[in-house]
Amino acid sequence: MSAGLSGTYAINGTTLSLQPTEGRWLERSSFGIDGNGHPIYSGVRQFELRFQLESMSDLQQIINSYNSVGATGTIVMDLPQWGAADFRFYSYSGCTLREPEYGPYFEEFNEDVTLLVMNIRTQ
Amino acid sequence: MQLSSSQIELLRSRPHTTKLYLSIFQPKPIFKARINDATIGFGSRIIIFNTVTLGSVTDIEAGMTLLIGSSDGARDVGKIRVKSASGVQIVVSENSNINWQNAQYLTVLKYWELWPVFPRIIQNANPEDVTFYKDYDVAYSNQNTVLGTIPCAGPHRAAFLDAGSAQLYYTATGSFNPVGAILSYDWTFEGGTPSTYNALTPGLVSYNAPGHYITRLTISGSNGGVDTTYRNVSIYDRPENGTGTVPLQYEIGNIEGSRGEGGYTASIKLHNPTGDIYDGALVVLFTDDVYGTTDISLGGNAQNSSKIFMVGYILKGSIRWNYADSYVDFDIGSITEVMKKTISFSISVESKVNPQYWFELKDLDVRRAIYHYSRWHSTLLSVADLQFLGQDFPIQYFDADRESLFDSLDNLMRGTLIGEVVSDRQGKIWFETSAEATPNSTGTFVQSMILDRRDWKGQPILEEEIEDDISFLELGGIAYSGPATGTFAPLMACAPGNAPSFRGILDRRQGLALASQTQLNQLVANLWANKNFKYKTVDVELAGDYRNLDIAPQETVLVNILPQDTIRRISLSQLYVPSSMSWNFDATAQFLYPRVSLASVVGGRASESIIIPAVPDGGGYGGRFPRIMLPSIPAFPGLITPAIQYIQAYLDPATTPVVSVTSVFSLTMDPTNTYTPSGTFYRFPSTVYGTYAIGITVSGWYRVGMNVSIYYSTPNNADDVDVYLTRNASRYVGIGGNFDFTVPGNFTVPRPFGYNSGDSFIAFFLANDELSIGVATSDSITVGGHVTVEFIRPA
Repeated sequence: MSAGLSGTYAINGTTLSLQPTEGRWLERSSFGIDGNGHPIYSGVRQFELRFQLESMSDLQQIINSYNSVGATGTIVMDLPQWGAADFRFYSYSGCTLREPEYGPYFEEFNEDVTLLVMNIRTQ
Repeated sequence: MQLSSSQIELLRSRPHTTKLYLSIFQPKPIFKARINDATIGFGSRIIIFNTVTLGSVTDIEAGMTLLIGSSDGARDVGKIRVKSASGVQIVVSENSNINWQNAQYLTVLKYWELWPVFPRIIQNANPEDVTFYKDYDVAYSNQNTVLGTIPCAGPHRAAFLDAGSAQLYYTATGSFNPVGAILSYDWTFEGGTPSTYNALTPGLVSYNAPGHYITRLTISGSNGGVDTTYRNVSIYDRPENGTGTVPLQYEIGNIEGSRGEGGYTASIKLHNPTGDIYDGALVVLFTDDVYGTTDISLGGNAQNSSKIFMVGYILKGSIRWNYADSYVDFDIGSITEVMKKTISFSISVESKVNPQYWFELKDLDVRRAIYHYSRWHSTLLSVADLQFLGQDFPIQYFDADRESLFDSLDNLMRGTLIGEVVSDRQGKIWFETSAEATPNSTGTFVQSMILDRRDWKGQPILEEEIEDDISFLELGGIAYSGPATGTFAPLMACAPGNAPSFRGILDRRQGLALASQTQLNQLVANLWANKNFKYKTVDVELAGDYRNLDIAPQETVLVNILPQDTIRRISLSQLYVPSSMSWNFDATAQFLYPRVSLASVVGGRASESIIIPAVPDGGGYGGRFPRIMLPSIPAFPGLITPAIQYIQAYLDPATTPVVSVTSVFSLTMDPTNTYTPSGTFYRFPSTVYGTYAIGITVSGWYRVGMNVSIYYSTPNNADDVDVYLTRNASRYVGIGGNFDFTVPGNFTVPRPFGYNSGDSFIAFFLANDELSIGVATSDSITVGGHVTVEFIRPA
């Protein structure tokens, strides 16, 4: 990981042409409770970017980023830093992407585009 | 694996993250050619080739794998072990299953794998004389006397290049020579730096290019034994750093291992496969790990090889291709799973101080049996580390049936030492007596860690025994001193004592190799105590990647359960060993965690000996059953072992002819087998016909058989022929009484061949029951007696 001062969402250092409408850290997978009553969490987190409406060109940037990673590669994502004292961005390396999901077309725009960033180490 | 206290703290720091990578070793072809022999067919061993398209025959080494195919590089016809190669021929192991044909494609891989090695026995002209060959054409010479070394070189390995280099650790620690010979080591590291090394521990060897390599270790003993082992090493680029990387799109499940099964298995589904997927391919699962915020891998038995999670082989017949969805799935198993599918021949060896024959082995004990079988009847030592732990004993015989390599060795351990053969996750095979049968078990084993509520998920599951499983346990075996002294002591013991407990079944085991009655008494006590321990098993699902735990070698964990840890408020602080483990891997969360089943390790109160009587006791039933009276066996002066005594005695009657003969002499019990005749013989007048009987008085014998023969001789004429007539008979004569023998039937004395009228001749007879002699000549004959008495002792 490395501290980033971009203040925007970026993939491999390139700012997304359309910033997401929403972004959130997802709840980590829990594998139960240990004998001491502590939840057992996975060591990596996931972040979800949601775009309510996205033009074809903006969507293509995301799709191209996913394709460049391919099925086996990793990327560097600039995301709001998990657990920071203020709203700032952080460059997380070694991340993987799930293929973007999108809803119906609204005229020439895509609705409800979701990009899930996985395998994010925040420690 | 025992971790330090700081490592245990790391183990407990969360979260745990594990990236699990899959490596499939791709052996390198080093020679290609085509068969050039129009006469070749089933059973061929000498493969003549031409049209070499890769490499040279000098690149081929013994033990490599030869593929036979219908096209270049194919293996559709079969594969076989190379024995040697030179000129234009490759010599392979004995075979009958390969349909050799001219022009088939041959590919030799730089790859050593597990094969059975078949002996060959040739019967010579003397049907009791055979010539034994260790590997079809390796004649037996001194292989059972010059014992080599079980070499250890660590696991098969896989790793990524980081900053252009991968550092792998090597040591031959754990290698064992049964005769204590001084050992020298010769390492070769293909693709590594240094490329060679000549001592026990090379330490870190650097690799700086992706590829698949072979590491070779040859250990030479000062007694002349030489043993070689090979390890496969796969080096990859990280996925983001190059194209020479691992297969990434795969799923893994059903990772399970148990001491009962002897190793591990797992199922893998590989999407969009590239490279060769084949039966017997080596698979290495290796990791990147984070414990808390520390990048470190913990656990694994091999020194400095914690990143190696599991080593296995694609199991024969498990590969299933799905061409529609472009994936292949297959099962992998530990080397012990491959051993289960590898069948060898029956083997028997006997312990000798100085072996002379192929069925004798020098100072046989369990470890030497393991070495002998692994070295000469398989290629197991070439592909895996083996290590024996615990107490070993001399054994007189080692017999392996026509069964799998695994069963032969596992049955040896189970039958002699109440032990098992178990592969750990990294592929090392451990030969151990079960913890429950180990003397001082609670103080013998390394304690891995203390397991408490910090380490498990939810609650531990305890199997609580309300009643005893085993009410009475009886063990027996032999304390054999070895061939030098050759003494035996049969021993038996029972637990809980002479009286059984009130619930449970009866369990008996015999045939153990033992040291003493004291050792056996404690062994049976420990085994009984463990079988009946109240909390015999504990199952826990662990809260993280606890790779320091494994099913072998046996290492104890101290399980501390507090009352608040279970619904039943059980309090327990007890030693256990892992008996089985299953692993779950969540690839999304990168979380690897096991469920482990633990078996108790408790000591028992030294139990009671069972005195083995020299002679079965016929009493003890108070007259309710008929008392069987066995006759005492009469003492026979000087007689030690033979059941049959031959006593020869010549009748030595008076020279006066008699018509009938009865009780002509008393037979004196003579300890020697022969009895010198005293001289004169019966003479029958030539005109006397009739029945003659010879009576023998013998007393006190259980059974007497007598052989009868007549010997004719005409000493007055040199050209006369001696004639023998023989009649044999035997009968029981009763117990403890006297009897008379009379020889049955008529025994006619014919005119001897070449007899001239007027010549006299002498007839001798041996009396057995009745012997009637009719004299048909007009000449007088002399009849003598020759008695052979056979004494047969009761069984």
